[in-house]
Amino acid sequence: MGRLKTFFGEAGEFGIGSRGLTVPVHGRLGDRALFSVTSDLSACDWASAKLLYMRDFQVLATHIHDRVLGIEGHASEPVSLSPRELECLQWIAEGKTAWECAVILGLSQHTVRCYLESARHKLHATSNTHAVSIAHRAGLLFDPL
Amino acid sequence: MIFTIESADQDKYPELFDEMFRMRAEVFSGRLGWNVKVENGREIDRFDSEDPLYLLSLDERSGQLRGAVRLLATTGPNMLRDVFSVLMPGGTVESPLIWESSRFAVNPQIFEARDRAEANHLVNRITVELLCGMVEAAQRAGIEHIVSVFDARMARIFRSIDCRFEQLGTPVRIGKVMTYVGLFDMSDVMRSQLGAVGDFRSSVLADGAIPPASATALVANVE
Repeated sequence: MGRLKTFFGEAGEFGIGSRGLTVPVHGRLGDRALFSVTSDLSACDWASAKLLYMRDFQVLATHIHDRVLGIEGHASEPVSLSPRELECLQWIAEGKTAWECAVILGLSQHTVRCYLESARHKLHATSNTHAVSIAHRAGLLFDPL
Repeated sequence: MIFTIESADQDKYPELFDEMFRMRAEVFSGRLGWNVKVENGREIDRFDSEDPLYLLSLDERSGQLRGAVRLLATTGPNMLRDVFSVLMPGGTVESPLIWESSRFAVNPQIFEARDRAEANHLVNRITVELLCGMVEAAQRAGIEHIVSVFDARMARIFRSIDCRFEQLGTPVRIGKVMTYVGLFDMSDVMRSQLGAVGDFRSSVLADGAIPPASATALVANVE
């Protein structure tokens, strides 16, 4: 009990916030990591901030883990997008919205959003625009129609 | 009530985990005849050691296990990528915002002694409760999509309870079983649709402690 108190006392001295959460990271090869976020927001503000930012915490946790692996010299595998992911990205590159992609490809909008999410993750992209740019530079997309 | 338990907490609830693994053996090996490995009456596979999150439906009063499902991150080892990749030959979806659900099971012991109509009703109700729990747990974790591999029987159950999913890839016959990949939207719309079907308007996730395993344990606690 005493050690726990000391631990949190020291944590406070180093600016660790009084509230927080930890996101587990599951890597491709079974590698694991924990990503912690702390804050000094009030209980009420923290509860709403948590809801708002949870999605970003998940993305950030995985991103930082990938970067750490890279710095440690673990080369990441070359990106391979599935045909469906490429198709969605190709139409985004042509200026179509997710809804338009869904109509063109005969998929639901939700499915298109899922394929784009997966493509963004595989390309380490922060947005669809970013993903198109990375895919284009990597020569994954066809030339403009 | 749905309880979320991380596999890291297995030591805290050894009986509960044991009950779940025995139920899985009974359902997947016993009733469905899947080619799963059962040891000492328990069905445990390699993905149980990949730190999944389990959702357990427990009876609020008796603590009896009514059903369970297992959730894995698609960024790590998962069944779609490592076992059923034939269902998505061009590559599976992967993102920290997409989870995979597997080993969805309703405990046969709770409907064994009942007539067919009542048993179906119970199975559907527990299925809807688990699905509501999946949407809520996903939303709390910032997760937007859940993918799952399931058979034609499960696809029928999802349709009968009006749980919408979209098929990814093409269904493939694996052994005797027609096998699908389904995508589930972890949205408020999905949650309210499920809530309307099963009359689960308020949250199904329990914040409190796990109920005692049996009535005798309850008495022991009171004393």
